[in-house]
Amino acid sequence: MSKIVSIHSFRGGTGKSNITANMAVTIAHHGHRVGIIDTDIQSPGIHVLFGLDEEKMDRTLNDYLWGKYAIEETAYDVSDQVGETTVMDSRVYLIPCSLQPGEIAKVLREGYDVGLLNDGFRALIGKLNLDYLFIDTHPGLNEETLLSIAISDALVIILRPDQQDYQGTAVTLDVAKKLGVPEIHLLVNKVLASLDFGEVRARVEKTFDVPVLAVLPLNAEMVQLGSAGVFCLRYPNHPFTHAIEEIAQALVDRPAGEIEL
Amino acid sequence: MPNGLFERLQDEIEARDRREGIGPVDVLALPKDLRGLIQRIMRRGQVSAAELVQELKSPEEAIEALLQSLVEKGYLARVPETTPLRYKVALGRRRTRQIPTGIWSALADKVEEEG
Repeated sequence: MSKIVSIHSFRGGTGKSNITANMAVTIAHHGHRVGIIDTDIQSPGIHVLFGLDEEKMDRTLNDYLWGKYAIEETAYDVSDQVGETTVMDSRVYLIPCSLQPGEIAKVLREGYDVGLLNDGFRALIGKLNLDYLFIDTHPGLNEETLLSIAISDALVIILRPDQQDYQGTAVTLDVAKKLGVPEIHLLVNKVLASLDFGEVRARVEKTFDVPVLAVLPLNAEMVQLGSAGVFCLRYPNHPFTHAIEEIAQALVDRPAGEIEL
Repeated sequence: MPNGLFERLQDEIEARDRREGIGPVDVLALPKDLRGLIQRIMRRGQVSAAELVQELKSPEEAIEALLQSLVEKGYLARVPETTPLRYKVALGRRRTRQIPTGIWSALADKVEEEG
């Protein structure tokens, strides 16, 4: 059964898109077919990590929402850019949002059919034969993030060790539990090396009563890379990459399940 | 279906006004039992009455009546050209925002330019 994983944070700047890209690529390297869809219509960006040139992106999620293309036609096969795969048939597809100001304004002005977006998630899984669909979301609570949370098999909430993030995470968790997400994880990112990571994990788990997938350090190499590529491909032996490997394994080990009424 | 759940669901549905589709925000505001049912269908994408009969362990007539009520209230839609008939959550249109018109005029040229 395919698994839909939403990556979310209440606040911006937590590292959501970078972590989404790295997790997706790592899972693909284990022999899976992975899709990544950017639903951050207001501020898209994950396509940059995969080297997609906005000028050459002639088909985006926006075009699907306006009925110009089927959703699978807006998927870019970026497998060649993510290095060799360990098993044949593993692929990485990216469905970007448009970065054109007019397109963004059009969505804000006219809205779109939310049902169409929901149908699109499932169509992608079927048409591209995906094992995993990662949904990169806009920070905070809005229609797109609520929809992605509502239909996801797993939700990964990313937070920094920051009071604003803690408060926002509590809000998101409340919503996620109300929406019955079967699998919820926390991921603490950008943690100063001077902090005791074990203590950070224990405190967050106790505060929210939700398992912490990983505590990731503030990563100078990641800052230097500046979204110019997927980190784990540039730094395959970095501790961050090893941590992403463990996170990916944890997601893979738990198959998609059913909710209870 | 647990004792009383079907009755509670019917009561919750009857108490709601008819609407033209719902949004994810609206789902959050639903009473617990109705929210759970809508969530189940949303997460599955589409369901048939027979599938719900099996999952909720309820009589077919009761499930059919429930689905009919939800369609009449605008929460579910029938999926056309499906046999057996399938239902999906009738997600409405994303609401637009009220922002200063000056922004639209600033972007209007860009939209026209892009065709």
